[in-house]
Amino acid sequence: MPTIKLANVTRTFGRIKAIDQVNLEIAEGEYICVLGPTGAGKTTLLRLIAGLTTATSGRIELDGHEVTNIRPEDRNASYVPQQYALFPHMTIRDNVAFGPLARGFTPQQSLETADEMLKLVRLAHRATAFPHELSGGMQQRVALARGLAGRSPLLLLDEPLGAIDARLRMILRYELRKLAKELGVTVIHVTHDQQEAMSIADRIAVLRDGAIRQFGRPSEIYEAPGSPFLANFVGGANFLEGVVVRETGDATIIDVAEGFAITSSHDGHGMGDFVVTSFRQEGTLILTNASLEENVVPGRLVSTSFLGSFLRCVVNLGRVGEVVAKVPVREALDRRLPDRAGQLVYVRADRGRIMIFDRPERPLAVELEAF
Amino acid sequence: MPNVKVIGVGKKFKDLDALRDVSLEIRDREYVSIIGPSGCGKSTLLKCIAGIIRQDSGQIFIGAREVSALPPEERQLGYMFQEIALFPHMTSWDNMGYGPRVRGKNKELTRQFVGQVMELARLKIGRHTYPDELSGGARQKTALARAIAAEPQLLLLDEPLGALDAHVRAVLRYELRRLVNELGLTAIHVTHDQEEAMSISDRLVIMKAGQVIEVGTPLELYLSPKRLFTANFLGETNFIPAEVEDCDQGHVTAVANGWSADSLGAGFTKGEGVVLTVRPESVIVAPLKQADRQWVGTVREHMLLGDCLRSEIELDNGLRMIAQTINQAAETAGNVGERVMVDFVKDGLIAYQIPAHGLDVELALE
Repeated sequence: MPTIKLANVTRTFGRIKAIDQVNLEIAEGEYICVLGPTGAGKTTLLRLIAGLTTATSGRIELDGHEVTNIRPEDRNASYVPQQYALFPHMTIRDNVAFGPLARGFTPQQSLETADEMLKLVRLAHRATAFPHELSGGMQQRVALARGLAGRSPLLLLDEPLGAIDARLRMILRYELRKLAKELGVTVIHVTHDQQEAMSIADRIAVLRDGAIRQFGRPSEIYEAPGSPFLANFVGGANFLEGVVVRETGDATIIDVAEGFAITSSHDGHGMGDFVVTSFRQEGTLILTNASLEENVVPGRLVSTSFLGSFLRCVVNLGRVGEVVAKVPVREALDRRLPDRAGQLVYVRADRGRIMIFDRPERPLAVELEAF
Repeated sequence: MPNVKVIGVGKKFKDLDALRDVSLEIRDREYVSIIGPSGCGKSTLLKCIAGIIRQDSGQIFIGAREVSALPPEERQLGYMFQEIALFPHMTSWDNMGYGPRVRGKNKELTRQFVGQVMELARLKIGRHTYPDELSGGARQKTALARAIAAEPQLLLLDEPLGALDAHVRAVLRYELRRLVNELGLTAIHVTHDQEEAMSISDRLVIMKAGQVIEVGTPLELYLSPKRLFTANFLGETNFIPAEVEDCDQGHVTAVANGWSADSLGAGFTKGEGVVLTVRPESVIVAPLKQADRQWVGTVREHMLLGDCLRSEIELDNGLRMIAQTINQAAETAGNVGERVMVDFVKDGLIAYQIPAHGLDVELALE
């Protein structure tokens, strides 16, 4: 039984379709991330479910009841906006107790709940502090605790980790997921950060221009993205445009530049089709010796940058274009990979890891753009 | 082009020590990032170098010139904030031409010059476009182009990519680095994002509570930091309390909850308490063999992060270990609930003294 169901929901603002014919079903206890670039409609979608804005057309159901035109306070959902506003003159504890108090709990019950929630977000020791005495990250956790304290089975979070430093954000995302699972609540979490979505969600809904482009488990979206945009936005990848020149039973051969052919084990495209091939940066291997293997292309190292676990190498393949390879840093050090610009290297990708897409109608650069 | 020297700089805001005796030397044409958790003093330090905040003590040199008491406009630098401060009533072109015009370039020269800067910044926008009509990425590039058009020698960047989506941010940082390289500028970049800093900097300055904790290249600080704080700040790390059994020639054998492991380290004595660190990507997860008695456990959770699989292993001796396997090799990592063995890559473990103020205080990010 889905607890949340959106059927053909559209929300327009003047001539702009902020949400365009969205269908979505979310089951009880699921942790869902709504992921997309700025302006994709993420916040509008969340506000529609919260009841803070109404759908222009379509139907929204919570727990099997239609709520399309029901007031927010009657939806049994807790919404934590991006610009959470803590009461500056109240202690952290009172701020959190405000949620249950507003829902009709007694003051005693409200404070007990507040203490419990503060313990969950690891701020019990700061209960008597005032908001301005806490860091941005702590304040955001207070807002979260206040959202949780209402005891709603549905938690709607808009960029809940947005104001937090990158490193702490990484730690808190795991805690947030654990917390949600412990409490058994259903969560819809809006974010523009694909890594955050990948590491926290049971399923991800990728939104662009008001429409859901793909909805699935992180591994599904990563392994089988529905378009070049999705491959680029979730996980990042290399893209080469080409034309299918041969199709054998178990391989598709794509010409990506005069004299350069790429072999993919994926099918579904026939001879003469204009396509975009794509392969993940971490599936792009750097070799130092020439070999006549399939999908090996020589190139010149343009630059390397260090990402922590990976070394990011940009390689110019001449007419084929530029590709990025992410090499595990230990491997890069052990193999003493080249690190000087201009050095000759060979790039390889396994045929099983070469994805093929129809060539998009608009230019590839525009299709990939996430601005 | 100049080098920058900061000598013993201190700054107090009421009772708070924002900067405590900070000394730093940045070389000509170097790209240095100052990183640390919020409130560590990184922005204050940058503002002191810019001349926007006057330090209470210490000296600042840009090139051979002492600038400690000079106003910002006499320091020959470009400054770019997180909050983009483009003039909203001017077109983007006029914004970029502001510096050159103020410096006395005529209309035609300014137009040509702005054209060149835009080409360098790979920025394509119409002549009559206003800032609020641009995407976040294009606005940020315009602000950067404006800073560069003033022909500074030193570029100071305070969270220059802070207002952008994660995806755009990761693309633009490389553009930023390329641009600074091509112009041969010295750049100091303040950020809270450790990956951003590591990916584009020649050196990193790690700050905490108003002090410089450590300075080094990204690789040095990531692979062999001197401080546990640095190890934690630059990315996920496993911290394992242990006791030294033997220490010889740069290697330490230590026992953690009854199991022994070899690590790098020197100067420890038998029986001393230590903290062992190991990065998740240096933890190898493999199928359990009959003979394995130590470093065995159960897979508790898997998370696909895209470029790698993050696994949480509960070891039989009570320790919890995070491992990251590149997704191509992820088949070896076992299923959730499965029994596995854990191994470490050569020199993956490093032994540290237990910090005097305790491990939690040392690692704290806020």
